[in-house]
Amino acid sequence: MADKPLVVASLADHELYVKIVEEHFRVVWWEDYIKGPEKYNNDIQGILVDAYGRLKRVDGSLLDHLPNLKIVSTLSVGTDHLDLELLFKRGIKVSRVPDVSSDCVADWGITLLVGMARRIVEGVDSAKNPATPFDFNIMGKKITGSTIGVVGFGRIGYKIAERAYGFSMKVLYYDVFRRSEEEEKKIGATYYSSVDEMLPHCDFVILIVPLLPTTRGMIGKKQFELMKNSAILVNVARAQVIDQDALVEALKNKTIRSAAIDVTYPEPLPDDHPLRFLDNIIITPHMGANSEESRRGVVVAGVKSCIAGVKGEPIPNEVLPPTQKPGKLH
Amino acid sequence: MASLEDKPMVLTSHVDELNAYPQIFVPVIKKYFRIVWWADFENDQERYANEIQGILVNGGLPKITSELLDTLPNLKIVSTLGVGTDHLDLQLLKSRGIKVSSVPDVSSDCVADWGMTLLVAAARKLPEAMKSATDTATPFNYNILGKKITGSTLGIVGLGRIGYRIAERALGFKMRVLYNDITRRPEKEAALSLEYYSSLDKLLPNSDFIITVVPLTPQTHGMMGREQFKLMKKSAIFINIARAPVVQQDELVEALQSRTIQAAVLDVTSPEPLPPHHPLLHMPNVIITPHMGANSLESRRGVVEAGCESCTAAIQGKAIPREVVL
Repeated sequence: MADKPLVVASLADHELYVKIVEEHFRVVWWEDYIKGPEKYNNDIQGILVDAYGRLKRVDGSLLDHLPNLKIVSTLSVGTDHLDLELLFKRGIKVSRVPDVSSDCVADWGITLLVGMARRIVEGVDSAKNPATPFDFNIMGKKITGSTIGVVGFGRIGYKIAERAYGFSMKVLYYDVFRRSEEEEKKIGATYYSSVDEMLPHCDFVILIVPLLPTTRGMIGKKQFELMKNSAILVNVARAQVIDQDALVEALKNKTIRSAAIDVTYPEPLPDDHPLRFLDNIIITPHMGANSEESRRGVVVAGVKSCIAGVKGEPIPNEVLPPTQKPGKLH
Repeated sequence: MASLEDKPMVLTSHVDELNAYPQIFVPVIKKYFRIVWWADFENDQERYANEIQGILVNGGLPKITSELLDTLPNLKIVSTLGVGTDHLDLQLLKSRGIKVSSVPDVSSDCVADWGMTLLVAAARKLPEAMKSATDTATPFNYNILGKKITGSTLGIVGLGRIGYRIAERALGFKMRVLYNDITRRPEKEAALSLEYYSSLDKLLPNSDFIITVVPLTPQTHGMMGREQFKLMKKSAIFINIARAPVVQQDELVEALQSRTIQAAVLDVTSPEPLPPHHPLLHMPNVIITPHMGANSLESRRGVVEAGCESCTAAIQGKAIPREVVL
């Protein structure tokens, strides 16, 4: 037991993962760590973190106390909760899990799209809630043959497009990189180098970009005005990709028809936030990767990278400093 | 363009935003016909009876009985505005020489979209998720874990127009698709790489999701009962977008309560709606929706339009599109 390296872990529901993590490490869970960090600081060689746990940001306030830290392994696709600049500066390795949950998130993106389009939440309420009348005429938005604009055509974006194509939807996409002709042909996808040019053609718009300086607030007042009045917006990216106040206005004024968002800021929203009171929105608690298989797979992959980092071996899914890896964002 | 007086007269049920035609579809009907609403007909049968040449049936109303037919000497056709004809006494209509039409195809895409919507929403617990994020009385829960969709196996019971379209959508999710139907359909199988099962009972244990998309016939009545639910995986989800009597509803309740299957989604129930204390309304692993399969504006309007076209054709003595051959 003393031979196993010590890691500090901040994960959403650690009962799910305890066995996997404890097979390879001694673990101090975040709730215990903060009660007496001095006990652990010198021994910690790895950090396991995801987007859901109590540790919201890995930065100097934590890193300054961990002299023997070798690796930060985030059990997520995104790295915007890590101070990457500081980590690289200090020579600490970083890894993430870019692939395991792609299908799961793509499934969820489409679930939100069709669920909002066909107003299933209202339907269930109508049928099950005694306070709401049983209504045979809850009319939804046509899905088959409609046009979807996919903003961000990485692993998940492409998979979303495949599923949309199965509904005979016309696929438009925006990304800083264009896919190959073969990849486009397979799902009849049309490329747009400008989001603003794509938006007016879309019945559905789905966001699946990483959070970067160039994508922060990319959907704001102007973009809502460019969209059709009948359009539905889906966000399975990061909340800050949308100007959230502009979203509230757009939904209130019916500048767009409705929205389904898996992410908000903050998470959760305060009780009195206007988004909670609109009837043309679905909000869900950050569930893109929420299948048992996907979550477990993410932990296994993250643990694997963490082991490699502690041992000084090549790290699967290492996040490298920008100078070392030009090109693909995804 | 014919003036109002020239248009033939049809009998139909009533307008009700929740339970019958919403007002938005009335202008569609009025393009073709003068309308006699049921309530007016009942009050003054003498005034209208001889002039009525067609009946438009929506949501099973008006009910076509021999007494009603007795009062309508010039009735040529009963056009039902939907896919099913299980609510019509076809033998009675045949014996009176009255034509029948339905609309079996206009809403196929829409219903297939709905079948997939129900499947993914149940698999990933969308209603529960919405409540967690928006209802301040329910905790915000990051760990609502759902059932894997990609790469799972879907069993389609009934590979008609709608069943086939469901298969197309399922393949977009890289699902493995099996089907059972009284008729094997080799071209459709080949086109989508589907696997055929001649026996429903053999299909069930291999499926993660089962969706019933059959018409209601003596053969399909009660086809899903205790034995079928026992044959399904414990982790399986059952979806019904066909007709309620395809399922033995009390046996479904038992199967859900005993966790013989994981969850069920019903767009149709017996009765519709269920009484407020019915167990299905109070089970967290049950989704119920109010018969919404064809509910896009385009689809519903298209169905009304198609029904009116069939009705007009019969009145004019022309070939009837979408005729139900008796």
